[in-house]
Amino acid sequence: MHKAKLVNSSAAWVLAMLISHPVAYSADSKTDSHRIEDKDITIVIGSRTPDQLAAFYSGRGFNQASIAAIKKTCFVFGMVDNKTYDTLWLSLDDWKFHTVDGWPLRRYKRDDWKKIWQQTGLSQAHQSTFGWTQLPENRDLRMHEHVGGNVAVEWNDAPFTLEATFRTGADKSGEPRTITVENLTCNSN
Amino acid sequence: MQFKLNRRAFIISIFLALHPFHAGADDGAQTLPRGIITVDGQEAPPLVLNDINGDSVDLSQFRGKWVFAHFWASWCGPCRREMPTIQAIDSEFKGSGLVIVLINTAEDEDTVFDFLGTVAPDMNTLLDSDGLATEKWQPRGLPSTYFVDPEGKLRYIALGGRPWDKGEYLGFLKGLIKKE
Repeated sequence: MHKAKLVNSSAAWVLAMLISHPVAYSADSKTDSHRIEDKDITIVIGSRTPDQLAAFYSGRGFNQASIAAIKKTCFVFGMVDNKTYDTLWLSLDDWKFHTVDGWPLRRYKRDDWKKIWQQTGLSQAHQSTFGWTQLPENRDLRMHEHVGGNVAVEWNDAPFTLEATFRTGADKSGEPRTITVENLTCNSN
Repeated sequence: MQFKLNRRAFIISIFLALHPFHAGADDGAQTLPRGIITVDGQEAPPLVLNDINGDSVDLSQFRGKWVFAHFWASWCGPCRREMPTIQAIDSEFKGSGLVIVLINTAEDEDTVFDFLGTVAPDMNTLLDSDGLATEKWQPRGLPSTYFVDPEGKLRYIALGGRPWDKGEYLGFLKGLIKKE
């Protein structure tokens, strides 16, 4: 059974949050997606298959070398909906992927993809399209704003965990939220 | 008596703290529909692109009017849902103080023709073929709509897709023209 945990700075805070922020969690085995929801935030995390990605990007004219690079990578999709915070900060550097043994999994950033595209000869237009399908590296999510997209991590055959921390408040001084999603997998075809 | 008043004030303050009012706006401005936020009034980035007829359009040619600058792509689901509502308002605001400008992000002409022909056949769009003009505007995602005031300054952003032909959104657009 998948589990979602809220990690906060003290046990008292955790207790207070659990009372005031009941968290609903569900996992959909058909789409391998995990939905974590409370009154403040909704997060959906899952993974795409290499064939799904290849079909999407091939359909938009990406060249074969670029498709091959995409298919070698594990793409996790994410959707974050800020329901009540005046500002919720998405910063992918605060998203930590690791194996069940605690080994960190590498996340491919936009600069990493630029180097890959230079090698595969992907056109500027297609690089732009690819960029728009990824979650932004940093984003201030206003109240009622949501954002969705992919995050690329190195391929791993075993289940892995995401610990995603979000800072809150316009000046980032609010209580951070950390959400842990276990049993994520790189979805093979 | 003093105690009763203090107790009443205390109860009211607790009630207010537990039941914050949401006026429907995201930034505290009570007249803005949900998902529309104000921005700081900086100058809109330059934008000169060809439309699907091959005609060059410079955004600065619309000075003196509000501009609804909408960035979109055919692969984006919310764009597909939102586009018919933009076509609906386009005819309503034609010749008014609000100009609707679509900017397609990084797609080829065939893709754009196919999409608009199906979803919003009356609409024209600018073609940001390599996506670089879009990146200068730094949209928060696709779709994104910016409102540029008659002086060429950014005043509002719509977060994600919005039903522009419906109630409060249509009222917001009409309100922009009335301001001038």
